[in-house]
Amino acid sequence: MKQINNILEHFGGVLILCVRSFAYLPSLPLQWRRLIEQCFLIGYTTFPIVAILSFFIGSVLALQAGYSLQAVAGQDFIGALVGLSLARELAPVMTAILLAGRVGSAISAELATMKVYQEVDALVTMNIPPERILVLPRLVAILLMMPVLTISANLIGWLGGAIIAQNIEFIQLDQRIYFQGIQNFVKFRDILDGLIKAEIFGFFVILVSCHVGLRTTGGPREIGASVTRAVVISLILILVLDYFVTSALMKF
Amino acid sequence: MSHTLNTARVGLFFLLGLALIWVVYQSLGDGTFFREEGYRVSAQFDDLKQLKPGDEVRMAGVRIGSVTETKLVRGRGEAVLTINPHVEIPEDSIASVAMAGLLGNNFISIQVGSSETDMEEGAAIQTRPTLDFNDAFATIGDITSKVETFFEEVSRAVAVITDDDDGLLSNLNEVVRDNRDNLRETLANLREVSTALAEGEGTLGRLIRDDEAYESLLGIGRSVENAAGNAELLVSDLREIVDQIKTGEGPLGALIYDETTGDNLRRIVQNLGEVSDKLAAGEGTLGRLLADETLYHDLQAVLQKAERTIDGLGDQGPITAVGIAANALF
Amino acid sequence: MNQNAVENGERQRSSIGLKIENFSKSYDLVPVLNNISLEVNPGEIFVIMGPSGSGKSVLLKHVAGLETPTNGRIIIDGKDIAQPRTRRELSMALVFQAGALFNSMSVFDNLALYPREHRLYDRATLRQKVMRALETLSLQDAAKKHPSQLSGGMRKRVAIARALVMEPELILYDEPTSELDPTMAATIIEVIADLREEFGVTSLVVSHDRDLALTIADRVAILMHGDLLEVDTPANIKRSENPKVKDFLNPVIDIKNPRFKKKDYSS
Repeated sequence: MKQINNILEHFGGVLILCVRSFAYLPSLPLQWRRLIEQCFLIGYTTFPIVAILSFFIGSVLALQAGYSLQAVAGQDFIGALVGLSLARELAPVMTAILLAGRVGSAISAELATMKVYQEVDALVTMNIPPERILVLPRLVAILLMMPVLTISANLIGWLGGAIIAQNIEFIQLDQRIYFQGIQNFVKFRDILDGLIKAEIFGFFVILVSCHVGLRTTGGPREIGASVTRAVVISLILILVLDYFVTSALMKF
Repeated sequence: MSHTLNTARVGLFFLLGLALIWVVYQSLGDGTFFREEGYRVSAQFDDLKQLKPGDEVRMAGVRIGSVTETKLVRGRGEAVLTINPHVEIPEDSIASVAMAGLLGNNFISIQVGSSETDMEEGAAIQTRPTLDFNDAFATIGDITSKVETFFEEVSRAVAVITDDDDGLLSNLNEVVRDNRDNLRETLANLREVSTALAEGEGTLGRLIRDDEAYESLLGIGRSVENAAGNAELLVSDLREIVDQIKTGEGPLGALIYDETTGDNLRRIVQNLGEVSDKLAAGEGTLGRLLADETLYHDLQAVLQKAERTIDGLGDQGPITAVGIAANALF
Repeated sequence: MNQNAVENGERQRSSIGLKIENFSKSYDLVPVLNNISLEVNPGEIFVIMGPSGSGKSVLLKHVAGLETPTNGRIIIDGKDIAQPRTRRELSMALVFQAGALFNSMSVFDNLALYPREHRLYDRATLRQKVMRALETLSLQDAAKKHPSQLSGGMRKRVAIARALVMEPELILYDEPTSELDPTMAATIIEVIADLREEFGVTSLVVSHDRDLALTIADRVAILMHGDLLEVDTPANIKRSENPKVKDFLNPVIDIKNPRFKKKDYSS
């Protein structure tokens, strides 16, 4: 009973945090510097790791596809396979997971520290709602940066697949055929679905991380616990949301 | 890190992202945000197959526009094509739905006409239904059953020769007359199948890396063509026999010719058998490539049908009948 | 300095009083503060004293509106602090025990955050106001440093300077002299007294520092184990006959008969 209560409390807390933060949306132009800073932290500095990861995901997809398809001489389909898996599923999900690990943990740690060392209380006594300057810029930043990260992940992953498909001994698929496969099978709609998914995942990762961070009570020990909690909840949320968002998108 | 520098980086990064999305959108090119430039032509088909908006329109293999819309107009499928403004299509050109890959995209192929006047905005283009593999295999089955009935009749007529001299002439004459239309139709059908297979060659070739399987598929096409050619010979042979009989040449002469006829018949059936064998051999390779399961099952069913009829043809043995007749005489 | 303030067209500040009525607080049904009522007059330095764990800081958090009481009301300048809009209408600052400085910002930005967020001044005025607050606490050299580079005493002074920039009518201090060496503690005490002299701000100080309470306070409240024992002027408090108060203010160190071995020892 207490567990259920806990979950519901989290759920409600996240919703309230979301509503409260966006209630301060009119203040956004006044804090554009903070927004840029968050865009920089969330988007720009996360890009290298997204690039590396998606490159290797694309490579390994091509490798696996090549290995499995050689039995039926279907190497020509590697492009389609890599392209579609990345666009529809792997690019958004892996980017969101990276985001949870790299940015979500940092945010929850930062906000938990601020909460534990009473910086958040200080903001409240200064009549500065923490949601306005701590949460809103981050939420807007992720909405701006997530599509950029995801489309990069797509393209870099495709490239990784192409390089592997061309150079591995038992595949040796010409890049033109590979990209032709992508072009024939991947529709812009697939990319768009992926971007929508990524946007939703990213938003919730940041929102949950902020919520967990701001909810921290107690001593410095709790900061670590909050980071763990934020990352675990984010990961679960990504995969659960993935199912529902994907099936919802299929209906449109 | 200076703030201005970061602002510039973030700005650049964001613009880069937008540019990438734009590039992807453009290169995947099934966009509906912007209408393509050009004039519109409508094409009505009984069956649009898997044609959908965004598919290409090609003339002599060159992309000249795209399908902007597909809709149902009084039970027929209508595709609205947007053609690049600088491309002119003669009025009597014919459009058909073609396949760019077994599982891949369909496209509209336009066969260039010879008319002096070109199509205008909003005009309707003539169309021709296209055989796809399903249809092709179904036709093979059809043909074989027709050939079968024809052979049955011939063998009955030939059987009559051996014990009733008087009946021969009228019987054979009757058979040929009755079956002339039938044969003609069979012939046309065979041609169609062979064209369909030939058109498919390109498609299949791209899908099949296994040379042997590819060769065997090419072989199918050739065999069907041979069958068609032989069937034609058969018809002329029979006509000759009847003519000779009419001009008073003896039944013996007719029966000498009969051997050639028998040969022709044998060859047709052999060819068709070959088709079936090769299709069966190709089945493995092809079948595994067909990710679309229904298509795979359809294909299998069709193949089985074709095989059954061709097998049946062999068993019932009109050739043996002809052969026995010939042997009995010599 | 007073002259300066007038010349700079400083906003006229009026002091405000506060009233705590029948205030109780319990956490998970464990009472921390029981039925406390007291009143702080405008412009007064009011010190709440008590041993550690007596609930002083908890009381202060409630006055600042960071938590809601289990029972009772806190009225500041005639407005209930439980109403969300009250805090917007009030000008009140809380100096946290550990400073609660924003670690990600320089000292200057720490001070400038409040006026910037509320769009109070233009850039030049803002700079002037912040620098003056820093000068008041002899911190002008620390403007560009980050809180992590500061000593404990400096951090406390920055926290006070940050409160000062807000130009509050009521400043709440949470243990302003704890963890400081005696000289620094004396400096802080002087600063608190000076701020009242200069700006006439009402100060509510929570501390267990005897020097602070008995030198600059107008009135002192003694809080022990959640109960308010006495509220009086420092002079009267010193003469108190209450044994607990006496022991708290003038603990006799008796090695032969140590406090923690006494039967009625409880603290």
